[in-house]
Amino acid sequence: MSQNPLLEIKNLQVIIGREENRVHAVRGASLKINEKERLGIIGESGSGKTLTALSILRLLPATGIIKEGEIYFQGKDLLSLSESEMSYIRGKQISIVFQNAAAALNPLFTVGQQIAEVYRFHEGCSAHEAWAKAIEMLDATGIPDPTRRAHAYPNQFSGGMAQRALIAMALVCSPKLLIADEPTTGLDLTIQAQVLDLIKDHVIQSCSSLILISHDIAVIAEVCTNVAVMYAGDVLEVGSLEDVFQSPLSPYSKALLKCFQIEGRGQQPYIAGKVPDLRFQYEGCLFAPRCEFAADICRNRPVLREVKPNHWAACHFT
Amino acid sequence: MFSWLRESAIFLIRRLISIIIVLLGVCTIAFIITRMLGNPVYLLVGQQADQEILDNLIHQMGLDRPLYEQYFRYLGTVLQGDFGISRYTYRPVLDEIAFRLPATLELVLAAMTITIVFAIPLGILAAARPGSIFDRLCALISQFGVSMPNFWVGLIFIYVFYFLLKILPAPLGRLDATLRAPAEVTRLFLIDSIIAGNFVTFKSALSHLILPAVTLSLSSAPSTLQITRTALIHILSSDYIRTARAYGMPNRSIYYRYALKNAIVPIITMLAMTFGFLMSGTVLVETVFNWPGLGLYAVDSMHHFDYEPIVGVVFLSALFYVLAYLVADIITYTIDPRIRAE
Ligand SMILES: Nc1ncnc2c1ncn2[C@@H]1O[C@H](COP(=O)(O)OP(=O)(O)OP(=O)(O)O)[C@@H](O)[C@H]1O
Ligand SMILES: [Mg+2]
Repeated sequence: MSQNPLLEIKNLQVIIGREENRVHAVRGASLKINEKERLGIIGESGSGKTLTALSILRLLPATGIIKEGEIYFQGKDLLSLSESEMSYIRGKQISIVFQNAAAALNPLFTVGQQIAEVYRFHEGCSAHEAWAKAIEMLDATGIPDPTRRAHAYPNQFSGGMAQRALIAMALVCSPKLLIADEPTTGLDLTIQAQVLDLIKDHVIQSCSSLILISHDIAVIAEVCTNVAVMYAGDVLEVGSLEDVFQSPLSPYSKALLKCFQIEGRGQQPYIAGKVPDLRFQYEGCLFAPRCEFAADICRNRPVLREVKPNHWAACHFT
Repeated sequence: MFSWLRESAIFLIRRLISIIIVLLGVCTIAFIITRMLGNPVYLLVGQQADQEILDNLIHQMGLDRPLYEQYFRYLGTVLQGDFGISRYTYRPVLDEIAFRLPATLELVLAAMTITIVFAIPLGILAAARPGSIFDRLCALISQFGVSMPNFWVGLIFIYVFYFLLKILPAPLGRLDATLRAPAEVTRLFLIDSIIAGNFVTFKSALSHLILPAVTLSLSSAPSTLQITRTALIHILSSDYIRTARAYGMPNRSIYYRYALKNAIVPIITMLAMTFGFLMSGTVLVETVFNWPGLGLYAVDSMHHFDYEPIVGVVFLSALFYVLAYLVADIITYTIDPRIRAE
């Protein structure tokens, strides 16, 4: 790892929720992503993928706080920036595509307006130029008749079109890093494939990086170069696609991959046993209660370490 | 462009049809109630009248006709704005209403203005920082406002500002007894006195209006503040606001442009409701301040078993309700493409 990573998350801890619903949703997650890498994050529902992504942009919901950790982007600690410094990172340097694009677009503004305003804010150009750029982006994301569709409101867009429009908005300032959080959930299978291709192609063409969150391993395999496996708010394994999928190190990754082979595409993975109750703190390995190899040593939390070159895992047995 | 015109026309026609249906319903209920109150002939001439005179009257008034015919005739007159003649003053109800409506309208518009000028900005500011001291102060004041009965607050105001401090006039109507109403233009004294350039009348009208208007606004301002606040907080936690934030849009535009525009729809709807509610809810305030409006008229008529005016006032209140909703609908229709798509 000679090059400086584009983004580095160190020991991120996020607490979210009020009173009895307060959970330690992210517990010391660490990640790195280099330039031109496409990192897939997989993990069961509730493993903290979304909150990790939102933490990067400091967009946690009102009840969530980053309790500890550092997030470096091009060497800058994002967590120490002011809110206004942060707004120059958002959308310009790092951008995000949410799931359920129909709700993510403002219903009272035209799609073209929304894209143009993001561009205009960051690039400081004329309204006219921004509008032209918005149409160009709609065109680039495969929206037919973009000159006319730019005047449409989000409710006049289908789910797939809305997702494309949102991608257009995310990419309008050519960010260095794109985060896509389950960008195709809720779309038809054919449209899912198109949208993923769109994201992948754009990231490759613009030499930027991607974080793709999905619980569909096939999707990650198709789009990404690297994989991170999350469990109960912690990252248990990171490495290149081949390393992690062909020779997984952590027992959790192995179990996850096995489920996927049995259940097939598009299914939520299922592993016997219960996910730890995230309201409590744990000393030991979070996966130990469900792990067939669990031993005494697992009472201590294993740290993520480089087991093989560029292949990291958090398990005492690797 | 033409399809837009056509859609708008269809929208308007549909709303107008539903308004007509509502008004027909109100007429029907009014018809049933007035028939249930007994034979109007007896109410007119008393029980002891000669049978021949009675029959004559019944025939004259068409009360011997089949009920459905009476109903349609009644509809016909009411829809022409003919609410009959008051049995107490012997003047056409419509004239009386036309005479008193401006007083109520002025009172309600003043209360609405107070509500809009104070409650909506406070609600917007409170929503910016939920849970802050300012927010909690707003909640406290609203709570206080709703929990005080209207007439009671009115009496306290009169006691303090008229009796103790002597800075406002006695609660007797819209103007000092020595002054004459300004030349009729809008029949709202504040506006007419400005048009006439009569400062003395303006001052008097304002000093008479202020207490009842503030009192009346106490029944609308607290809920308006809270609804504005709740609507905005809800919008601020929505996905599309998160999107705007995620792409770096500055807080100012997020709040005053993206969020506020979305809040206009519920706020306008609520204001229409408030207007209708106030138009039909001035009775207590008018009574306390001897305000010569529709509420007082309805109460007086009730005392004299004079039903025609009551039907007239009820019909008019319903009319204002539906008109307020129509205006709100048109505004939200132009703002919100989702409503246009329906
Ligand atoms: N707004 C919130 N308020 C309270 N708890 C939350 C909130 N958002 C997430 N959580 C909790 O935080 C934990 C992690 O959530 P997160 O959304 O990051 O999971 P995820 O890995 O993205 O799951 P999924 O695959 O279902 O999207 C979950 O236990 C969830 O219940
Ligand atoms: Mg998620």
